[in-house]
Amino acid sequence: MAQIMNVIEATGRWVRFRIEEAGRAGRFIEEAARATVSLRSWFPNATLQMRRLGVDSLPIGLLIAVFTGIVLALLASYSFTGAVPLYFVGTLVEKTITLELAPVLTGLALAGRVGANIAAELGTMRVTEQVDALETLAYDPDAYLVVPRVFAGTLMFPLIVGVAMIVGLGAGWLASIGFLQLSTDEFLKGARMFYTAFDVEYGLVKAASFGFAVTLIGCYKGLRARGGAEGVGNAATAAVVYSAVMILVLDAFWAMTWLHGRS
Amino acid sequence: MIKWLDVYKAFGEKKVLDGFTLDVHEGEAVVIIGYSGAGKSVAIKHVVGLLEPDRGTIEVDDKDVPTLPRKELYELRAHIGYVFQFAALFDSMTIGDNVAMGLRKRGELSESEIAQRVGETLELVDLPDVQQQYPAELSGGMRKRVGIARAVALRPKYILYDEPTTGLDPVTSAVIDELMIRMREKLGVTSVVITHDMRSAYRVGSRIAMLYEGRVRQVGTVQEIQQSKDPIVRQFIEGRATLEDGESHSPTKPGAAIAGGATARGGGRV
Amino acid sequence: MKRGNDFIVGLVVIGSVVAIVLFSLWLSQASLGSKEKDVVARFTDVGNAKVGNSVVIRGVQAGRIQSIELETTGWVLVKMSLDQDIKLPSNPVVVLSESSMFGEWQATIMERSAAPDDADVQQQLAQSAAVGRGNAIPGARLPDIAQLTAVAGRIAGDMSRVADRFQVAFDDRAAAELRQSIRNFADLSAELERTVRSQSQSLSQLGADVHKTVGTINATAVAVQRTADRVDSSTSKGQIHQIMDNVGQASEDIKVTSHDLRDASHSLMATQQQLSSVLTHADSVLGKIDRGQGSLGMMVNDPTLYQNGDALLSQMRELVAEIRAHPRQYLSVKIF
Repeated sequence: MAQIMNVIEATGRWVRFRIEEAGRAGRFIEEAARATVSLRSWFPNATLQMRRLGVDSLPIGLLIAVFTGIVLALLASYSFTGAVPLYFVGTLVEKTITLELAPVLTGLALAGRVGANIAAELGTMRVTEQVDALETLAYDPDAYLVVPRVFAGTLMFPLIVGVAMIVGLGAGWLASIGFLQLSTDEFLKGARMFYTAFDVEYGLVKAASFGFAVTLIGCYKGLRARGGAEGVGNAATAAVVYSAVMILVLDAFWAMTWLHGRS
Repeated sequence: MIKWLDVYKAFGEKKVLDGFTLDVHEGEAVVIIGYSGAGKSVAIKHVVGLLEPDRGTIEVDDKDVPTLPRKELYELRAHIGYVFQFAALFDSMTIGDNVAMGLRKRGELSESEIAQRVGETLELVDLPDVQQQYPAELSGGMRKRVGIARAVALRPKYILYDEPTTGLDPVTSAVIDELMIRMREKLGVTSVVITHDMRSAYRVGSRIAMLYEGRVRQVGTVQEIQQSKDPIVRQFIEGRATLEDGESHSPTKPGAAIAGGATARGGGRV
Repeated sequence: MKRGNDFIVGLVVIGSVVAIVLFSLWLSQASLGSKEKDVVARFTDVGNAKVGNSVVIRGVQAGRIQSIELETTGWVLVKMSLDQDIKLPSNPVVVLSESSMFGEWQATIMERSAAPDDADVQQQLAQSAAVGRGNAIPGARLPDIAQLTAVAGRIAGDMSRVADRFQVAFDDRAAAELRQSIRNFADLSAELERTVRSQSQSLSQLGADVHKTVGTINATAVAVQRTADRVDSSTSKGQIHQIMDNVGQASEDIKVTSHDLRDASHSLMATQQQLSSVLTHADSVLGKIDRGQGSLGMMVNDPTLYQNGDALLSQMRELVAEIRAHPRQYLSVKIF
């Protein structure tokens, strides 16, 4: 009986903690949104963050795209086993790269790179009182630290993903020519057969939502870091885990709300 | 004038401020002494609105800090310099940029005027040649001086020092003490200094307040404190392990533990 | 440092935006800046054609469908943008047809005289041309494999008429030969069924129009059934029943496959034409039988008629074998 009570109590505490956490996150987002208004206070910092979170993330994004493209081409030709004309390799590579793999794989990789980076940096600033110092100098940490990062993430993720789409399709094309004896024309025919601008649009919007979520979670976890090196480490871990989960959730969300029901 | 009136603050179960009341008048240098973890930092963090009290008021120039709208709070902060315990320099920026941060935010001065002010201010703390260096390249004492420079660059009316000499060798401590006195004399700032270094307290303070169990145990001039009859004050200022009657003393109230709670929740060092 | 940053970020942002936009345009084959001219065609029905579908002249891509508008007068106007230097035929018409089994359509611009010799198509073109307003060129939408079965239906009708004659008089030898013929036909149809079944497995997408086909086949089946009933009475071997079963089986198969069948492929038309020619052949043979030469004794005693029938069957068999041997040539390759 006592054990059951313990379990119920523990569950209650857990639920309460989660709800509180959600409330705090909501207030955090509200604060960040309010801080966005004062453009002057954060925009000068945005380019630095765009460089660090975006431009510097390009290589990893492109590396992923290259391998994804190659693997997809080979995977497609293997799956078709002669029953489906080979030029559908192009179709499959185009569709999967633009709709799903470029945004999600890049997003997951950047969740590690960007999310952990932000959480660790802001976490360190928090535990060494640099965030407090900012406040005493009349800086709003939300405007000064959070908004530029979230802005940079939301803007740069789609760009990285867009370039990854191009590179991924290019890699798939090279793999098709090199390994599958497919001609450029055939590959292109397949890629173009079902291509619509929506594919790219969908992928980019998804990427923007990932960028938004990853940077926001990184900032939130970082600014809430407590207690020295361990706290910073925990914040970084939590940021990566939450970001990755959020990416998958958002992926499903977009698929259900936007992709689903389109002909 | 900075005025704490019956301030209560608890972190969870732990009461840190328990009816804290203290006035700091213009031109004064009030030193708050007390055990580690007694709530000294918490008290001054309330002044700049980094923490909000559970109960009570904190007034700066007759403005009630906890109820100030955000915009006015930021305006107020521009008049208060805060020197952090570990300097809390922005380690991604050069020393020059660190010092210029507050000035840039205020936006009253041109870039060249800011550069000039930064130079002057660093000279004031005897660090004329470090502008292009990064915080990691400096020693602890130098960093504290940069922290002071950053706080005074805005020529604030008040400066709050959070354990400015903790962790420094006696000579460097003396240099910092000198610096604090110089700031008061040259710039006419009102200062609040938190320390548990009594030598420093006597040197710098015009008045000393002892914080014990969440409230002010005794406040008075340096002389009054030195001649205090209060056993707990005496124990602290003489740095003994026991009370005068030979009885072993350890702070009993929660929140006043010497060892525990070096770091409070809320990010503030207590 | 700061300015270098801004420069690199700006470069990457602008570079990627340009790259992504160009990539998207290139994939959708939109033309940038090249000169184009518009051609408008008038249709009664545009089937499944959509904006962006290819416009083809003599099998070469020449442009894209720019817009499809429903006119108040009941016509559908299709605007196509073609490359500037493309020359249209002197008397052009536009024919819409499927270009793949996935519902992708294309518009083919061709000489009026080269338009498919199909009554429906010709009628559509004639009606469209008759409106004659503006400079819209006449357009028609190609029919689909329903046609194939219509021909088969006609043949079935002919057969039933022949069978009527058979009923008039019948001798043993004629019956034996007829039996032989019927057996051949039965074998052939069984083979057809197998072919259809095997081919239907490689067809993944099939069109809704075949629903109509099934109806036609059923009607055919009924007609043939009537014939069979009559023939049956004299042959009493039940082969016709077997044929009918086979035909029924085949139509079942088609019905099953027809679930996915979207639309008949334009390229299937080629196959269809071959089948049509065979069937026309059959038509003419049966026609001969039907015409006065068609007294029973004459048919029985004139070996050429029978041989013609036999040749027709072997021709069909060859076609079936051919289709089976090179299914891609007739089906898969064209379908995709």
